[in-house]
Amino acid sequence: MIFISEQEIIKLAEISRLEINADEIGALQEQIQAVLSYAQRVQEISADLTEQPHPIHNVLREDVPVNGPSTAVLESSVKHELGYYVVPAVLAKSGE
Amino acid sequence: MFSFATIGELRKQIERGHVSAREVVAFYRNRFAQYDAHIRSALEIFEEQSIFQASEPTGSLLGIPGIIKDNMAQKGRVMTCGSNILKNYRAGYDATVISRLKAQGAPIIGRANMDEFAMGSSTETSAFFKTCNPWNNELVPGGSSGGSAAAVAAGFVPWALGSETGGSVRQPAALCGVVGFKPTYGLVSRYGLVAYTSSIDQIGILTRTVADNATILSVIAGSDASDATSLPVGKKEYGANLASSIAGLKIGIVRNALSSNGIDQEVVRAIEESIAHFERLGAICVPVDMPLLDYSAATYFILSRAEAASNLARFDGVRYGMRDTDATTLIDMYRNTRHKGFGKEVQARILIGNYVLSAGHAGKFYVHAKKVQQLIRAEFVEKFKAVDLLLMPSQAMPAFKIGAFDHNKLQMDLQDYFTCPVNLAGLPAISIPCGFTQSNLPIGLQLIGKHLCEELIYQAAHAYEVTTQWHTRRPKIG
Repeated sequence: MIFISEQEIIKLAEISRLEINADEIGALQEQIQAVLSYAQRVQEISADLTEQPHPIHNVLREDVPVNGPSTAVLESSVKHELGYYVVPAVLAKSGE
Repeated sequence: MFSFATIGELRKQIERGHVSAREVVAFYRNRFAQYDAHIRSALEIFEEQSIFQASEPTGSLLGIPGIIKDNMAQKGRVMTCGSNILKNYRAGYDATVISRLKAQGAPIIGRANMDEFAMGSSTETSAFFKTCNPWNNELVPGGSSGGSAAAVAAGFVPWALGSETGGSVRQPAALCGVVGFKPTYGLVSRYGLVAYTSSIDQIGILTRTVADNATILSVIAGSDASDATSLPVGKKEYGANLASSIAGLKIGIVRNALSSNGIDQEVVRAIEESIAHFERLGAICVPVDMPLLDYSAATYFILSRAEAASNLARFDGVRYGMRDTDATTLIDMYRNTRHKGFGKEVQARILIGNYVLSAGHAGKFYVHAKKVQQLIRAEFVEKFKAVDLLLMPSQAMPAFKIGAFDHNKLQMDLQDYFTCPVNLAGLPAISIPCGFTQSNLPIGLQLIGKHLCEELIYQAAHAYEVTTQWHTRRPKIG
């Protein structure tokens, strides 16, 4: 059985850029613990692979310029200006 | 006009001038208008004129309407992925599959409901509403392509597109009594399909007959320069040899699947009768054991959630979708947007995904699961040395009550148990109706093929279909 502490959930939420309310943590803990406890059975399979039985390889295209999406993609955003996406400040203003 | 007509029947009627393409589309739009209030398969049915303006005026699918799961881009149309975070997002381009369908004159009638970001097996996590099973409105249609499956089962459209990551076309097909097909990974372009698990996702097809399914695959399959994971396969008619005899075909019956813990006994009985039927058709059914089957769901949970956590990082309010405009800092904007925009299941999966990728856990979970995935692939390849196809259940149980697994998410996730091994291996597979329970609920069986052996799967499925009556039973609509 895998146990995930409240602190770990909060830390995971931070790296996932998710805001989690205090009243949501309990249910999340339960769900995550149940799924991970089931998922850990993969460790029962010894996977000492010195090489991949079915190698896969990256597919790349030629490094030549092609037409990309037009500036129309900017229209999907809430706010854009002069070809840039406009977002709130990275750092809070001092005094806030 | 018959609501449950096949694509072939509709094409004949149109070619002979008995009915026009417009009349067919109007008929099916009307079916949605009249009956979809009870089933709620569609998020939107498009205005008639816009349907015809979007597609070519000629082609093999002229007048043959279909509905698209709402995670594939249709230019100028809203695409929500069943999520609030994309509630008002309009796609600026067509997915490759959509362009190909439109080029054949296919009238795309609307957007089908789905589990949010394809995360679910019941279409209950849609941010908008739950779809119900046309066979019993208190039950789920399966998921995540539940809207697509329900619309086809209810005779609202002859075909629909869905998408698969762990079985999200085959499982709802089984629960709704229709044909659900998942191609070999890379056969159908993912360009324009919103990514969930990029290394596994594939667009799939739902229809009421095998022949119809092959017709749609022939239009959408084939290499695409816009998708780097697309295989170098040319255009093909996948239904050209459907009627070929299957005498001598070797079908491996996955024994340990049939004796799985918790599998419904009515499902087992229907599968056993189907095996006998395949033998009467001349197939040679041999038992096979696939011990790694029991580790597939665990492997799938880890890999899918990991990739989902990565793929869904792009929904942060910056470039598209919903944005929390009250936030005064960038990071608050990210956090609040994602908290307000994503449903609970999506948030849970992102957290799990980041857990299995994080320092201290990645080795035991993600890295190890990638290796087990290789072994699962190898097990399939090994079995296919002795057989042409594999047969096993598509589902653990018939359609279940809406809300049944609200407090048991793991049981919900395990609905993918029989379907996800195929996704991990990147192989093609079909679910076809093979029986009904005592309560008149559909049961499906799954045929799995080797890499790029779609035609053989279709041949075997067709041979079964035309010698049985399951696909002719209809749910009572309205």
